[in-house]
Amino acid sequence: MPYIIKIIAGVISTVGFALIFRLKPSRLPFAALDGLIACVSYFAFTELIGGDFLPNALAAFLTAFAAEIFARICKAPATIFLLPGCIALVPGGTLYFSMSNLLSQNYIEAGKSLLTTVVVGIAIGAGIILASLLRIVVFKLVKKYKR
Amino acid sequence: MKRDKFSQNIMALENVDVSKYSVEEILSKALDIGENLLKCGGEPHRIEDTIERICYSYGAVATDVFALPSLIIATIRMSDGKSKSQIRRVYKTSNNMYRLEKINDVSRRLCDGKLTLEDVDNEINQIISHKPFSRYIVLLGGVIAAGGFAVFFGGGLTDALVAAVAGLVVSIFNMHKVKFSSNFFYVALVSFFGALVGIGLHKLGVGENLDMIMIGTIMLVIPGLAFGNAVRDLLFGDTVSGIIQLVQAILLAVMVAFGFIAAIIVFGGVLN
Repeated sequence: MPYIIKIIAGVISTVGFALIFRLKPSRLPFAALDGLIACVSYFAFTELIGGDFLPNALAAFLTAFAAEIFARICKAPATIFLLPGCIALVPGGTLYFSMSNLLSQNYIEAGKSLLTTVVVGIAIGAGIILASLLRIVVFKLVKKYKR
Repeated sequence: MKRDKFSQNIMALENVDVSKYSVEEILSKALDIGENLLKCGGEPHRIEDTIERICYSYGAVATDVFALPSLIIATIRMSDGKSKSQIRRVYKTSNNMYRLEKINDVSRRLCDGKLTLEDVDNEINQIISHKPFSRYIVLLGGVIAAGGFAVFFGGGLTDALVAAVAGLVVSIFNMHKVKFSSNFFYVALVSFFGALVGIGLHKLGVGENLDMIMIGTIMLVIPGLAFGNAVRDLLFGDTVSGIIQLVQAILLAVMVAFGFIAAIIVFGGVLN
């Protein structure tokens, strides 16, 4: 049950960021869907695998690949869907905790949170790059089969 | 006509007489498009790709483009041996996906020959002057994003309300950017006021979990996907633009931390 509420909240925030990034209204459903994929896959992989790197990397990978597919459907750049879609994965929470622990001089906790932030950031980057590599392969294969 | 980034054999357009355009014209129009893409949040490799495509489509035999988050350098050489270089410096970038999509569409139509080079200025001016979003919609976006993230990270409904108010403050500040101040300083200022509102309301007894309120607010000011994008660029081989983005992301995160810490100190120093 708490997951459902969290996922709904994540999608709402995704739409909020889509408004901040000034997406066209017709692109909003796709951005929301991308955010939904990000939240659901993040929670699912966290339950299944655990840890920080793999769940975030896999969720970012799925989100980015979905964004590439939406880009093909809408004939628009993939960034439009990726930027709001991935926003729920951004490690704002751990960044905040590293800061607040630093302030209350819990240096070990602060270091832990800071490292988590960095690891999650790298994971997101790795996931996105995996998706764009896969896009190149998949769309080349599709082109080949269409001929 | 085969267009593939990785084989780079983009042919000149067949349905348009490309020989009537001078080198300067082609290069400066391509750079206009690239500059505007960069200004509204395009990634450097997208800009490089776009400029290369346009120049090859209009008859260049060699195109060398190098784009950074704040600079574009391009040289093209035509079949008659004439070559030309231009540099564009971009000072202010923001994320405006509507513009990004429209300008990307302009470049796509240009490469398909559905749009002539003469029309580019007109189209770009039209896109920039057309503002389909009222500022209230952007404010609303900030409010629901901050509130949503407060719940997403485990807060309750009252936390979401407080975070939404703080998000509104942050969005208002983000909207009226002071022209003379540096971006980093401004981010610190915005985070300071956002955190001030969040902590202040919490001290007044609204909201349960201060951490969740602050996280909801922080999500609006931290450089979003900048870190992930930087890693992506680094891994893809765009080392220089990756490093620039990485340093910017880290500096912005530090500035956000400064702003939040300043607000916490104003309210007595220790959280909770």
